[in-house]
Amino acid sequence: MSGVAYARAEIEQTFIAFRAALERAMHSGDWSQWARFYTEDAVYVEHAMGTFRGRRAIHDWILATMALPLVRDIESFPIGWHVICEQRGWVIAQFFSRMRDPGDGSRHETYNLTVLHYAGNGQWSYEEDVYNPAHMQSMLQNWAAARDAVATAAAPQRTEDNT
Amino acid sequence: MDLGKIGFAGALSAAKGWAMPARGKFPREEVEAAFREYVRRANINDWDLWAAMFTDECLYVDHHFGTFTRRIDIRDWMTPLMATQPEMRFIPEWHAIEGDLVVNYNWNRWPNPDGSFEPYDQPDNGIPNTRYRYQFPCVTLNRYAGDGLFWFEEDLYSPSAYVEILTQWKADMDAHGRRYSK
Repeated sequence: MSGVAYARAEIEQTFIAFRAALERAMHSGDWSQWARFYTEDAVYVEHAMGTFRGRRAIHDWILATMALPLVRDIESFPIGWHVICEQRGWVIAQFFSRMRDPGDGSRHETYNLTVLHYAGNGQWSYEEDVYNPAHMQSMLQNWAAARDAVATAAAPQRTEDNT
Repeated sequence: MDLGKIGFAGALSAAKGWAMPARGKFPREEVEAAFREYVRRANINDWDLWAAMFTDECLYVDHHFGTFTRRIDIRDWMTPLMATQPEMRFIPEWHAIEGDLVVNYNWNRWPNPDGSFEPYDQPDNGIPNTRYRYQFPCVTLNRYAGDGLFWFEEDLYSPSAYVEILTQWKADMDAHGRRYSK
């Protein structure tokens, strides 16, 4: 650790702006502004998908990931609780992955623990996401099943007479 | 076994715990002391003593093993489980405290089968954590209840990583002709 301490307000402000950029990127599909919150040499450790080094690698990974089937149906990443550790300059937060309504009004979401290291200038030098990948997979499958059930119910009924 | 379904059920239980208010305002030093004692007890193969760190009524969510709501249930789960894997150690990498919450980034660790970097069971042994080949990170989230006890714990980790690493460790121990608990 560098031992450099940052003001709590500065870290908090960056965290708020970062989340706003996250929501904007979710809607626009343009992740370049979100990626600017990472330093050029930032490291992103994603426990299921791997470790990404550098802003460009982080950007290219998130762009590809958010276009994946099911993942692209995530509606938002709201937070539950968060802790700011001023001494270290870290934010530790519970980040939800919340799915859009599959059509029956049911709520599908899961969460991970995210650690962000603040590096000054409104940027993070490190992110790590810890979660149970099997749980995420199950949540996505449950959402898909709900979506498919809605689609099946809405489809025109075929009758024997039509054959 | 469907790890996803178990995880999903666990998250629903944990959500109830997160919705609960803190049980008081506690001095940071008191929470810190309780955490240190918790870590000490987790590394001496006395899991009855470790389970005694929880209140009688509590909420413990492990996304692999399930949800426990009483101290005696935590004990009855953990003590026999850890008897089958007494080599496992619990080494905090870092922890943060805010109010009643302790966030602990922990290494659940087994010894290197080649015997290197011993002792492997002491957090402050000066050996970089990366020197240990068989370990996986587990974030433990504890909420403090006062009187040196915790009323909530949630463990976040990848169960498949846990099972895979344990399996590999045993194979590597066999390759080195070393004994371990079955």
